[in-house]
Amino acid sequence: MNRTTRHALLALALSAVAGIASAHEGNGAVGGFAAGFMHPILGWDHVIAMVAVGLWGAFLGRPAIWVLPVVFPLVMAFGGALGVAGVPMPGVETGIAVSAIVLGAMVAFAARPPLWVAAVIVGAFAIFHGHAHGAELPEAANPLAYSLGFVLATGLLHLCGIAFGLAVRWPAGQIAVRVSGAAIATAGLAFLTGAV
Amino acid sequence: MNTLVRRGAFLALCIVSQGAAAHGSVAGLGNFFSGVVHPLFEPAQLIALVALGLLIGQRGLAATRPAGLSFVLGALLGLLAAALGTTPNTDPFLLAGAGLIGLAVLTALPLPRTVCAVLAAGVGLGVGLASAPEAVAGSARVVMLLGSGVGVCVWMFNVVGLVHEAKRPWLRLGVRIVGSWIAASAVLVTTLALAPSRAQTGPLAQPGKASVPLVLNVAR
Repeated sequence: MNRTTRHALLALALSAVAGIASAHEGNGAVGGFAAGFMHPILGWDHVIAMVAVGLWGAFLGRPAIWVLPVVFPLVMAFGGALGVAGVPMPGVETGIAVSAIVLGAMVAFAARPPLWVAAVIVGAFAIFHGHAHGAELPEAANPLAYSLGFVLATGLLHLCGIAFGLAVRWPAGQIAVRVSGAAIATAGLAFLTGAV
Repeated sequence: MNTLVRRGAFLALCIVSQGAAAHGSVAGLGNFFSGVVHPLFEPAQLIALVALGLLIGQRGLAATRPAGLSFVLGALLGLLAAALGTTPNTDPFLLAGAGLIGLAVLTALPLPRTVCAVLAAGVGLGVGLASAPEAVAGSARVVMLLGSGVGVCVWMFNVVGLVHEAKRPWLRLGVRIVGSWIAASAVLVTTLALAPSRAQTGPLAQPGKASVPLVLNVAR
């Protein structure tokens, strides 16, 4: 076997095992869904803010326990629409970090504002989170699957917060939830200052 | 050398190439069952069917009987048109419908029977039209469309059945929350379709298919 033939066979072997380039955020519906699902989960600033929404909802009790997690994705969709449309929004990352600080502080200080005030606070911050997700949407190979993925992941993160927040019915659980809120606010501060 | 490399490259490409799977039959399933599972692999169809299932299940099948009937009739009409070769891009309309229905599920507002029936007919028609298989002709196409007809009814009425039996308050609440998620996703992707400069990269701007942004551009 001469050198030319060896090179040709090597090229053939390498070509045969090479993977397909993935230029988009996941390929096809399943890939798009997985990419969207992982987007909020892989960003710790998103994760702590989502969990804080659930915690605060559970802390406030009914109907806030379900109103806040419903308000969040709907307003987030509005923020996402702004991102998709290319409407610039300054300080998106700052807004996300501040959302963790404020929502965590609400839980830590056991704030009990009227439901509409809580909904407005949660909704205002949801715009920043939505904008961050929405800006990625046009790059996704399957935008609908991507959006379903990140909306579902967001909902499940709220559910995590709600599940833990239900511990407020016990005195020790209430302390644990408030300490968690303080930890979230501290983490938000760390994101804001660039410490992490 | 050049000839050998070219032949090697050609052979390599033949080895790594995969069959196109755009709305064709699913390998190993056959034409009928490929049609049955087709709505599950098309996100726009899937969320429209789920949203409608939530709506009908939430209101009760008895209270929305005309909706179930008009859905089946709409789907039949759409499938018939698809069999005759009509293949419009109905995804933007399905998404807009899913968004509206998702909001109706979330708010749980009482809707007149007629409105439910019109929404159901629209979803059925849209899904039926969108079920047209690409690159499949003749009897295989008809069999796939028959499968799609069975599939869209089975999946939608399965959701209706599940939601109808969800009597506990937290389950009813879960239904409304899923409605809000569907509305949120639909709003986002509809916005993407309406943003002409960016929609060209998305699946809603399929070549050869008229979509909402194109229609709007023409209207302007």
